[in-house]
Amino acid sequence: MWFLTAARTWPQLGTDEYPWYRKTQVFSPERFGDWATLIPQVAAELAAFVKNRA
Amino acid sequence: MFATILPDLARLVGDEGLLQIAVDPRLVTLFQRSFPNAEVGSYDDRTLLDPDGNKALRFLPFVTDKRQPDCWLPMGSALQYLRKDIQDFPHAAFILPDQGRVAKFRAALTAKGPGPYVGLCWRSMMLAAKRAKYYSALEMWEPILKTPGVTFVNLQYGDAAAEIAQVRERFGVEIHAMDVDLKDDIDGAAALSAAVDLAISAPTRRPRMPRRWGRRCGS
Repeated sequence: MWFLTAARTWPQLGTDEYPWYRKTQVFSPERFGDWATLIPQVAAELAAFVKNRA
Repeated sequence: MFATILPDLARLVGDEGLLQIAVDPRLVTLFQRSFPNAEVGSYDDRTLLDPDGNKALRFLPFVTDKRQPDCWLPMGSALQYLRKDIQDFPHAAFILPDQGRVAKFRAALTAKGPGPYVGLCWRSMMLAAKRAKYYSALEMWEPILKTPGVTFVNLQYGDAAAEIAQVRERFGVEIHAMDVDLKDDIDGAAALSAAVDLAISAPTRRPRMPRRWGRRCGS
């Protein structure tokens, strides 16, 4: 599970992940709600995910 | 999210005791399968008409049907004893989707196209102007949607047909909607989440459940 957030959220408990859901990967932009920067990064990760499975 | 405490509570209650778990009616089947030794039931919510305003009351008839519990607690309150440190958060999965339905979804996905199958959940059903900044509009997902070699699957609950059509017209990409009511059939939503290879989600109002789904079946 990849989880996109506009900013860090309290359930992350100060970490870069969601301790509640260990296998969740969190993507959040440097600037609040900066989806225009974040989404291409996620797309690159997805392309790598596809390549690794092939 | 707080349900991550339930395996601990089941262990503490032990074989001698009985753990009773009250959840939303849509979650009963999924939780009962995941905690076969517990008694899972739902609420009977009422509103008390009062001169000072209406008061919401939550009854749990199944809890006291056969016995009086020795104690009760809100699901999240045991966190103060059992999650004192990040290291205390477990890694093991505990929610068990219906394996038969997972297999059926997997077969149905194969008919849609080649894998990997990537589920998408792009907005909250509660989307309103003041919340909009938290949710990336589907059109902003274009770079993700245009990733080659992926079959996309709808995990967006609520009416997503218009947005799926929009994506088809603008980007020529199909987000396949499977035969399941993602809002009310949570057990089905859990099975579909387990059937896909990866799910990508924007924050939603749904309590963050899908993240735990499917781990035991290897997805």
